[in-house]
Amino acid sequence: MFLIAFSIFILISSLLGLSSVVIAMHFFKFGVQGDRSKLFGTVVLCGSAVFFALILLSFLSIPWNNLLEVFYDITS
Amino acid sequence: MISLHENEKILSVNRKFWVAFATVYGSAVGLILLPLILIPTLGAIFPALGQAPFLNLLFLGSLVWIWALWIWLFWALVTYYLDVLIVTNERLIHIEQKGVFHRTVAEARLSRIQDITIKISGVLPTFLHYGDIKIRSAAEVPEFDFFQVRYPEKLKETIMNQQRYAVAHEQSLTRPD
Repeated sequence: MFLIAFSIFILISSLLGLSSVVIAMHFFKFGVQGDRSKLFGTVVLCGSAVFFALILLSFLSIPWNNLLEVFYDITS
Repeated sequence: MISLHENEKILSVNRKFWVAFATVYGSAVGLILLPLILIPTLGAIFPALGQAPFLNLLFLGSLVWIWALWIWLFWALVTYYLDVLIVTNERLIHIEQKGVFHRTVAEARLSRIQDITIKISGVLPTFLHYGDIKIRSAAEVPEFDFFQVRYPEKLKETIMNQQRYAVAHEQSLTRPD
């Protein structure tokens, strides 16, 4: 159960992380001198880093291998 | 970044008015708040979901949802913010970011500008002074259309003034001594 969940976690995190890098690269490369492109690029990268850290912590706090047992305990 | 010629200066950088981005921004804020409504509702219907570790699972799902919306918001911001009409003392540069991997850059020398039409239509555009500008030129790209730009009249005046200077400068260079 943990392996399946971890694989899905890695896949989703990679897609979203890669998207944020692509977006930031666009802002850094195609902005106009003196505008807010660099700021937006930095914000999207920092925000994605924070989200990734929160998601990782949240993922690790879940007992994946015992999830079904816990569910039966709660519902019984 | 825009590469400029020697002695070329950027006079004006114009983007679409923030109203063009407001619907995306508003939708994203609304969708971000969706987990705040869904999680308590699900917890009320299925009490088991309101306890750990299922609450942690819902929290994880919410974070993934919000991160995906964050990416969507900035994806839309790329296409909005990198769509610019730049007026320099030599040329007009129109950059259209149609998607993240679709970008067109067109430029025309100011002396090739022939005429400009502006259109302000509607109550909100009239009170907030934004509208469309259509620039016709003798360049390879005959027409530049830029929509929902703030103060299109001022932009038109800037371009026409610079066009007059550019034409006068070219005529002075070609005048026989």
